[in-house]
Amino acid sequence: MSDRPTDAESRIDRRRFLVATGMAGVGTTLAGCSGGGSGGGGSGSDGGDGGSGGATGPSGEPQEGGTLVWGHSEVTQELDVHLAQTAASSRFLNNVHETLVGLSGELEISTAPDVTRPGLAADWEINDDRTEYTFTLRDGVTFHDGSELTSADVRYTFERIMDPDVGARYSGVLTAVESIETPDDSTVVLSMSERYNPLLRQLAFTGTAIIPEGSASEQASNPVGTGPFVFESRQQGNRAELSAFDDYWGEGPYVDTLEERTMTDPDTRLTGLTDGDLDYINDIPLDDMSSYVDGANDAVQTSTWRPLAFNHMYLHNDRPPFDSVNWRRAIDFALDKQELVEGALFGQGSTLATPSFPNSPYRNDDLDPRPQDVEQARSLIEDSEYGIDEFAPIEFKVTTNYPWHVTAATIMEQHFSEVGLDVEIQELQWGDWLTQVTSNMDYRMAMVNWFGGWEPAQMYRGLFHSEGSFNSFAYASDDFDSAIENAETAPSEEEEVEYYREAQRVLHEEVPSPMLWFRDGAMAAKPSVGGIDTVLAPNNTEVNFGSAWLDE
Amino acid sequence: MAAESADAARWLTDARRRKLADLFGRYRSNSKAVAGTILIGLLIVVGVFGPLFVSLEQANALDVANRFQPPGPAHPMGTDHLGRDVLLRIVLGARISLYIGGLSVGIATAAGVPLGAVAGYVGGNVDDTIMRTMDILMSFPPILLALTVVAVLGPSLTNAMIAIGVTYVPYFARVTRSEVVSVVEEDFVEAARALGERDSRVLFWEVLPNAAAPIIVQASISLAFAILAAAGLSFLGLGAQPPQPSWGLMIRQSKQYLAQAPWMAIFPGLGIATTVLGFNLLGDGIRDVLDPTMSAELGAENE
Repeated sequence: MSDRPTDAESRIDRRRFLVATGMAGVGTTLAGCSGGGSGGGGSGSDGGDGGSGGATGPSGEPQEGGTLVWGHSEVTQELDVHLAQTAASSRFLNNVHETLVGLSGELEISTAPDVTRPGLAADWEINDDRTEYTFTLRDGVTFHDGSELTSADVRYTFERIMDPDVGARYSGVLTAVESIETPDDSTVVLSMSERYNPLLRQLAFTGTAIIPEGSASEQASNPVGTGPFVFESRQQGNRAELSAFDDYWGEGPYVDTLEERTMTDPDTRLTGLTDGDLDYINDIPLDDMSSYVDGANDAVQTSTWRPLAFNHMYLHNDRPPFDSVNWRRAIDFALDKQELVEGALFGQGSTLATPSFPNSPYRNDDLDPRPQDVEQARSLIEDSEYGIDEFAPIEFKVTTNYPWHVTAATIMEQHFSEVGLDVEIQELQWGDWLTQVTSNMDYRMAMVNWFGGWEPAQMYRGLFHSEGSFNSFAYASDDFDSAIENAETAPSEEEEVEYYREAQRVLHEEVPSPMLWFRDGAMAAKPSVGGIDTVLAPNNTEVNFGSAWLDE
Repeated sequence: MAAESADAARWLTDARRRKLADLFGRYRSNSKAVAGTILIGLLIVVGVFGPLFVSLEQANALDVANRFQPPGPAHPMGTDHLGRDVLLRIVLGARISLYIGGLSVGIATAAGVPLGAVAGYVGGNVDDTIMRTMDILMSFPPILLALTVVAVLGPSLTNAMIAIGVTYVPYFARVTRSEVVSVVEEDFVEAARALGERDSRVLFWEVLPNAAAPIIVQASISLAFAILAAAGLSFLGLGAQPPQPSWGLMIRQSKQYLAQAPWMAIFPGLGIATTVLGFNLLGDGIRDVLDPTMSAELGAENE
């Protein structure tokens, strides 16, 4: 796909490419929560701007039986949950697998069995300097292959994730783990070489799900986990079938069969729901949203939440003119972000100053988006070492994978021309975009979305640390790096929060990547589907149909 | 010797003048040719003079609050998903279409005609080498070949035109060669050779002008195909890039909003349809006018 000149470079390129595919395929385990979670519409958090609308689902006790057909917006790729790089895969596999650590709809790690995304640990103890974690496993948990969940499975899973030869997506989560002890069948002890504050949060990523001992080789073709649904079959790019797991330890599942149909065209998906045999779809086409949400249409029940993803620009921080902070700030000042939300998202979103989810405790609330200020943008460029036309036209690489990106770029081009910047849009297929922008870093200006933000360590280290695996901006800031590193080993949660807020302040000052918007998420279902508010995972992008049911 | 060749040239010129007058008469009485000319004439008028009245800034001006306005007094062709006036964009799109057609057919002609002419005139291994290469190029479906060229060069309107031009080279080469092969056998070519003319002069002054008719027809029809192909590439995101007011790109952008704003697709679609129809009618008309069997009768009369 790409030129690979030397061995050393090719290794980096490949790694970058893989991680990039993950990010772009659209981040799996990253992403935060809000109202749409099991908490129901409009849970208390300030970010949770969620709600449901339209018709209401059936009332009463959940009924058993039936086949729920899910129109999925993306193609599921890798089926091995530890290797899966795309959000599409994790969205699907989240029905099959469970993680050690549970996560509530309010983004709190939890041992409770009834939170939105329960974990397999019934309890944990941590020593004072956070170098030893003792997990107690839930009783009576069975894998789809019939075996009991024991501490040996957890050790097997974590050793696999840590093995550099496996290439697990979240191998970094367990870097500081020195040893994994299993004193008895239900106890796992992780000993750490140093403090790593994000550990528990990151063990709630679907990419660290627990698999049965010895099952590694079959996961890629037949994923086996402890989740409410058993994998049956898949024709990639077309459909997949899951069946109810009768021995599931928790509540549910209620439907007999979950059928996933790949339908990438938004309008086809919506039609399939309103006039076809789909029961549930994720992602309503943006321009149709107003006709369906908030009670606008009786034939469909919907659930919306904020945010699903954030969009940001890629500026190449090591290539003129964007190696100049003046230029990067000028770009930020040139944009009327509210007009982007209105024009490209049909109002289904909001502006942002920092990518941390609005309900994340790590968010720096003191930061505000820069308002559009054409004069300021012009004078910043005048004061820089580069002339305004020196690099004209500046190529702006946009992927057609997300049609609203192209619309936004068209609006942004107008904003840039108000400043006097000559920007030329280049529409690229998804694969080409990934290769050119994230793998080869052959660009000056680009844009994409990132599905995530609830877990700061993964997002900020990955995207903006000078060695971050998603840092395709060539951004290298000592201030930022040290804030992130300090946060990970900070002696208290208050200090950890402060370091992440500091990191966000640095990002806002140095603008390696101007922030564009938070996009709202939306799902829709037929009125016969019960429990629609339980489907969205706390990370705001994955789904789980364990508590959904059909009124037949 | 010199005087004789000048006489010969004058005689040819006279004959050609008579023939041209005759052709013009036949052209005027051919309804297809006339209809094609009118349509293309309209397109050229809009393409050439439109930009004097409409600026690109006006056509790209956003007005999100007034998006999806149906056709009406303020916006005769409605507004698109960004509130831009469709009429203004259609007007500017005419020039882009002409530019696409002209440039890509220009490229195809400039490369294809000399290649075909040399192949037909020289013959032998040269003929085989050139024409087999052209056969290989022709074996790819045109849109696939264009897609490949664009993939290599990167997506832009200019690259799309180059790609389409390259795609049509073999068609021009083939038409030219087949005509040259028969013209080369004519007595006047023999005569020119006997007079000691250089091969290049014989080829470009004697042979090619007499082989021009089918090339002109091919060019006119190719213009239609080129505009259609460029619209196709733009529709696939490989041609014109936003915010260029290209008709193909406008249709691409309308796709998502067909239900709420069909005018976004209808008007650029009409533009493309009219243009393609115009060039096709013109090509058909010219072919009728220049039809070889008719020409033969004409020649018999003249004798």
